[in-house]
Amino acid sequence: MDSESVRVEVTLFRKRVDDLRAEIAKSIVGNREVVDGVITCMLAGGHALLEGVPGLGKTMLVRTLAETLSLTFSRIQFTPDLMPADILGTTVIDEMQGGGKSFEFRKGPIFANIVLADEVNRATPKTQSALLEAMQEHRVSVGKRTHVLDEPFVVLATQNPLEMEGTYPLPEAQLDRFFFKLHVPFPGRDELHEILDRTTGGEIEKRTAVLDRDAITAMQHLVRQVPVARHVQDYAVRVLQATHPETAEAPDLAKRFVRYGSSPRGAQALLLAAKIRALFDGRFAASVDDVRAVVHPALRHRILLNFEGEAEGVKTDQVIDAILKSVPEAKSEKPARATPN
Amino acid sequence: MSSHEEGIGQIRRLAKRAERRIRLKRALAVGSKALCGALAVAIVDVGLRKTGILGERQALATFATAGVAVFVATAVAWALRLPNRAGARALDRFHELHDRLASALDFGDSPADVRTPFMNAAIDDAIAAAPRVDPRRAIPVGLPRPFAAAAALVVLLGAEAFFHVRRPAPIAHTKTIEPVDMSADDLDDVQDFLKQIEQTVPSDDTRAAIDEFNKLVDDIANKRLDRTEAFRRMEALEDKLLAGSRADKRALEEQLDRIGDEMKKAALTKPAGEALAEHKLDQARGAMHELAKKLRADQEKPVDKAKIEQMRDALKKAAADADKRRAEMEQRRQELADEVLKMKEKTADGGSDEERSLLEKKERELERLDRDIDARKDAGRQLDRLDRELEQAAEDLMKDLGLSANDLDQGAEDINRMEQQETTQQQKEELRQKLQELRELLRQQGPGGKGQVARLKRFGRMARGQGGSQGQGGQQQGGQGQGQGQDDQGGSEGQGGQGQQGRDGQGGSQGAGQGGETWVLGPNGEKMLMLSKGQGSSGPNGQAGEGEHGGGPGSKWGEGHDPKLQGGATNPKMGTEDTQVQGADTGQGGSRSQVILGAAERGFASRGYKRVYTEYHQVAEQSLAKDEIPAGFRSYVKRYFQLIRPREGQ
Repeated sequence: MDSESVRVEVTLFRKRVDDLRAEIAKSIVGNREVVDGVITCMLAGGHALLEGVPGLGKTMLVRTLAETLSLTFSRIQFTPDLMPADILGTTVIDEMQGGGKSFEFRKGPIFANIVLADEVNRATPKTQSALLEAMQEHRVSVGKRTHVLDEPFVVLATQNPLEMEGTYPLPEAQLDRFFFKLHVPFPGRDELHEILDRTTGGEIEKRTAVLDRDAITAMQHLVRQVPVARHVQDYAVRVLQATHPETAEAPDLAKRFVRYGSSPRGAQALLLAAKIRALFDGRFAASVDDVRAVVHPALRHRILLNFEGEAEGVKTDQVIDAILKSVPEAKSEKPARATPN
Repeated sequence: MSSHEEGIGQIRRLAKRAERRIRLKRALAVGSKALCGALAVAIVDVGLRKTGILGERQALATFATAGVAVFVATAVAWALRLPNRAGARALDRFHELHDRLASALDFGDSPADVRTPFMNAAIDDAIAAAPRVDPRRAIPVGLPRPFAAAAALVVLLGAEAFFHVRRPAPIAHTKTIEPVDMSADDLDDVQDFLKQIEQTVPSDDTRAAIDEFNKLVDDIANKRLDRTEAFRRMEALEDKLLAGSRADKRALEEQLDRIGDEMKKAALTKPAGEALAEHKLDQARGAMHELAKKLRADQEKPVDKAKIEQMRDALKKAAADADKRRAEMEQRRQELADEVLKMKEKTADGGSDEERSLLEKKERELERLDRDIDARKDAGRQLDRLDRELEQAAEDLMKDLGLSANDLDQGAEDINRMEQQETTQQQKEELRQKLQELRELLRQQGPGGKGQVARLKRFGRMARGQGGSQGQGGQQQGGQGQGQGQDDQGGSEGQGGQGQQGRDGQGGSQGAGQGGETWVLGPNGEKMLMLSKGQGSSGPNGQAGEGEHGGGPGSKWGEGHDPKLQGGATNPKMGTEDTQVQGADTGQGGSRSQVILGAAERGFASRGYKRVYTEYHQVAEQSLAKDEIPAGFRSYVKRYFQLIRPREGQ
């Protein structure tokens, strides 16, 4: 592959993403950042946690995404009585034609390319943890057998931040497995008009699939080839370090209210998302601005506040804002070679 | 070179230019701030220089330091390292290239064979964007904002430079001294003494010393001397007094003894010799004149040659012995000096402790001998003429008795002169002692002695009847009841007008005025009615006279008030409060009460007081003469009596 073919690939990438955005936009009004976030998660091979009050179209967004991709989709409504087997699948006794009986594994809803885990915090931790292996390893172990999930595998979970009664907040380990945590904002006036116009009218525009499995896989592969200059990577590292209150880079807010900072997965998410963002923009390398743009969704669920922070009502986004202010974009250091990715 | 390398080179040059501009901008920003600081310092510096607080050199040094600081700060700001890819990133930021240039430079640093297609594509992308990159626009270098402030400060500095600061003419502070403060009594005492000495017709040098002493006292009285100067003047005067009397009295007396002893051996010179031996110089002079007369009278008669011969031997020995003893002492001194010199040479390289101790002993002996020789020389000078006259008389005895008589007359005159000289020395010694007393007084006024001096002064004022002007009388008489008691005691002596120095003393005045029948506190605290008689005369002013006990003419009650009474009269209707005082009987001895006549009178002035004072003073003087009392304490006693002495005219 030479630079010209790279240019072609990147252009194609952009076109596909634009097509996808346009198709999604048929159903989803506004929420460009959320849509881009979900697409980014999918292209990075990660999972997204969408948080927002009911009725903002979280489920709709995921459903629309699934419809615009030629991928399998399943939806799991998490309830307190949901069992792990209800997600992963179960082994049943199957009567054969000859009269014999055999055990057969019936796949659960996790066996899909796009899985919507609706209101994920309503299930018990036991059930939530059933997702852990699937999300990280992209495989499911039931009994003595391990079942590999089809690629691409994307879990898009939603949760309601208001109704805390009868919910089970996701454990840190599971939160860390989400590539992004996206806040779904309340739509503005124009967007509300648009929503009403579309949903209260006669015919609802039909969506078509614009990307197939191969295209998505190729795009995921392309993302990984985007190079990152040393100073950009260094910025991502310094931002990550600043989330840890014990480091010198941490701002006062982080030192005061943060109990634990982000894991290295956070830095991985930063760089991957920055690369995807560069490709969205038709560029061939990630920049510091790309990193800065994805810090909030990549790190907000990876920063754990202490009791004082919780009591003071501090949001992790405030901590991230402080970090972005305090960490300089460049720092004097010996020049180092870029790392090809 | 490939197109990639050229493109990267171009980007690198652009980045370098951008970095230089960043450095320049930073240096200007820091330099302008430093310039503002330096100008502020310069303004203060010039201000301080103009007001004279800073010297020329200090001001210049500060000015130069501020200037150098600006250059140093600017240079440091230029030289400080920039963040990595700062130039490229600044260009990226301005042209919204999303780190294209910085990333391209980063990828370009990698060898071409390890670059990925994406890297090459990124480099190409950056190269394509490079032509529209303009470092001048990306990093504009203008005058930083602090330059405006710096310009304002320059104007201010210029204005300050033309501003003339009037320096106030330094006010010459006259040096004031802290004069020694001596009580008038002490000064009076010294002046009285000096007057007494002057009346004895002293010699010229004594008179000069007295004049100088008078001047010293006058300067102290007029507060023209501080302590240091006063002590210096006293020391100088004492040196002068000592200079004339350096002759060792003991040495002189020894030599007179020797001459007298020799002269006693001859019958003719025996009276003169005895007088000399007893140091009765006037008698010796008379005896010498007598002998001369006798010799002249004997000139006409046959001469007892044996006696003449005996007298000649005596006179010759008397004259010669002094020289012989001086020679012996000189010889002894020379031997001792040689001995000391040898020992010094010996111990120069470090001798034993014993040797050094011996050397010190010898040196002390040598010093003592030197002092003896000096004393004898001084004494010898005084006796030199007498010796010569006696020797001449001895020689002339063999030739002509008349001549010898003349020589003896001359000798007698020498003795007369010595006598006068001795008198002068005595006066000088007295002057010196007085000077020492004066010095002791001044010494007591030093730190720690002021309180004592103040007490003595207060006592002196009280003794002169001046002490109650500030309510001191109240202290003496206390409240009204107390005043009454004291008054009554006074009343029994017929003294009126006491206790009038303060308001509290008014009761006393009334008590005295009413006299005759007053209540007193008895020894056990009970009140007793006392009938006093002989109250002061009831003059129009109510002044009780000096009427002694029972002797006063007053047959009527006193009326009026003492003219020196201060404040209004006590309201008789104002209630009084009796005070019970319990006497403490310690059982120690008898308490002989003695009436000091006139003690209740203002100023202790009365004939009776003079008599009492004289009695006590004599006893004190006898005790001082008899007992061994340190000089420092003697002065206390003397001063005490000096202060309470009755004054003339009172």
